[in-house]
Amino acid sequence: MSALLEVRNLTTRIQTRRGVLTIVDDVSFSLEEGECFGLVGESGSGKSMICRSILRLPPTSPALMSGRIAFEGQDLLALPDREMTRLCGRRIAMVVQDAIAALNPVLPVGRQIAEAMLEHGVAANRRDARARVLALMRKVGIPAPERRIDDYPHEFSGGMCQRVVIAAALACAPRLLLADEPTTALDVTIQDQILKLLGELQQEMRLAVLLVTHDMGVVAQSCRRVAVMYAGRIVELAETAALFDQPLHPYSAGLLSCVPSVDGAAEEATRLRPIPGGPPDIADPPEGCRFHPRCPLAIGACQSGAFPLFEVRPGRFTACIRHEELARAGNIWAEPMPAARAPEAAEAAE
Amino acid sequence: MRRSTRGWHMSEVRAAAAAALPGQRVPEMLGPRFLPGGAFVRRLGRRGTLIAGGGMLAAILLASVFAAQITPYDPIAQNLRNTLQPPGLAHPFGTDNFGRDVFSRVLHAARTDIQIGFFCVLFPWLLGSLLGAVAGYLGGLVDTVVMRTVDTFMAFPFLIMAIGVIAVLGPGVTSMYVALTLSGWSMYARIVRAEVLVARRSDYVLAARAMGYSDARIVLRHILPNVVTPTIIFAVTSMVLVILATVTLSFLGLGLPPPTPTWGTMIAEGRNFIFTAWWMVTLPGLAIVVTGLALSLLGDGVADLLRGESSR
Repeated sequence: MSALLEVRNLTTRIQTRRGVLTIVDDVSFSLEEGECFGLVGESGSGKSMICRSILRLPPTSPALMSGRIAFEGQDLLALPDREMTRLCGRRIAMVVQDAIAALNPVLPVGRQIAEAMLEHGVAANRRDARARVLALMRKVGIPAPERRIDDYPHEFSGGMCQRVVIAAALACAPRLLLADEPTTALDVTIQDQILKLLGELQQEMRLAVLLVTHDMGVVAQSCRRVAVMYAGRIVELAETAALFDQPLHPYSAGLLSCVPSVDGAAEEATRLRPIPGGPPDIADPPEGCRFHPRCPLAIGACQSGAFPLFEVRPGRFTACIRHEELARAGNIWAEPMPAARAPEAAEAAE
Repeated sequence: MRRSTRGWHMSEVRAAAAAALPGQRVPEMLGPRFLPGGAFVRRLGRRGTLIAGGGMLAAILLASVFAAQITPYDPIAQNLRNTLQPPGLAHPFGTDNFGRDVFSRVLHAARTDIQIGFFCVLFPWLLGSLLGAVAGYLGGLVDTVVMRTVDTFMAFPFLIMAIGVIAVLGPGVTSMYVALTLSGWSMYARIVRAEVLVARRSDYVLAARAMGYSDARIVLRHILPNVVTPTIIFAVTSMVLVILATVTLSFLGLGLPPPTPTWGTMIAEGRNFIFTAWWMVTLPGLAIVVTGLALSLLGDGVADLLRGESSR
């Protein structure tokens, strides 16, 4: 199996009024063909920015991106604009969080799905495109597509809109789908349906999916491997089952302890433990490990130096130097944190 | 049915009727729709300006199109033995100092004036919307150049600028189009740019860019259709001002050369005879008033309609 997408040392900065902010900081990971890879983290941890960096669509131009993003062996960051626009939509497609906002309100949904096919030359003409759109709408589970194809986005529910958006993204049978929080705006039952749909499509079309989410439950359901992001960096990367079994970074452990478990045993063990404090201000991140102000295992060595990912076992990466202590300590988030640690982080969050 | 501020609730009317006529069936024609505050009346009230304005304009357009069928007189044929006749049966609007039928001239002038007015709204709308969209979408240097140009154009009073341009190009329809386009486009550019600045950050534009669509396609197919509504509102409401501007230019002799009738030139020609032949000035003037009223009613109606839709 060769890597379909290989991101190496990606750093994305954006220009703001407060200066240049590093949103994505030296991130590396890879996706194999047909794999579903999860990217988890809190809001503002840079996970959406990774998606947009892959498509070279950061919010400000010129792009301040460095590193290497290899897709099918081509470096996307070095590709001329024309080549890039040929790839976008055709080989790489994106699904965004708010499906209703992602559809153009003045165009019927069928036209929007067909547009990609016509623009990228997948469909020969309008009639051909219409037939393909109907087939695709059926495939993503929109009932009675013949009747709905000429409807406008506001005539669809949120879940149906997301199906339309997925259909539009799949219009040209891409190899890689960037799903940026595809289920966040939906309620849980619809969320489940959409995830199942993505799973089926992934199997059927041998589609690689980069699933960006802040929901560990979504990751557990869909992803084979997962990377946990904190303040612009990947802090842990592992197979999903292994990570859920034994997280090797205190932050991942914290995220897991925030997931409500239905089949949980003792009431005390299943109480949700929020991680105290808030994520750091990316304009002024803490020295050393960026998580140390909130980490119960932090020691002096955590407060300075660089914390790159290193391989603990084959396929198992963490950035935490105290992962062995973490493994020994069991649930470090079980005891309430002393309040004294929190203020610094809380200040930084404001 | 909720109680309307404009009238009685139907049930109140029927209750009053039933009380006044005991033992009698209150007729259904006192149905809610036809009473003050009823649905029909309310809808008419809401669309009333639209219907009135549209109807008036339609009548004016029909009269101008079928001018040749309505009056037997040629609008430019002189009859020097029949000059300055007051309005009467033969000539409902009288004749002018060359013996031409004023009614015929007013009708024929309507065609020219409305046509010029229409294009003098259309051209600036097209130019301004396009430039505004490009400036808003591309941003940076393009935006700066376009918007500073807008500021420069806006610094000139509307008519002064139009007169200046026509003075350079020489009078005529083409110069009139150029002049009014140059003096009118800047407002559209400003409106569209502001809307595009919002729209280009929207998810559907991001999705379109992620699909690898070209900038031209994104602007023309995805952004512009979503942002034109305010410019259409501005266009319909400013149509009456544009028509008045074209009339003013004609009056100043900067429009079509004589003998082609336009309302502006007719008034200009008639003003020497204002004390002896009032109809030469007054009746074309009345045509302008009626057209202006029709357009302003229509503009308000259309604007209300679109505002209602866009606020939904």
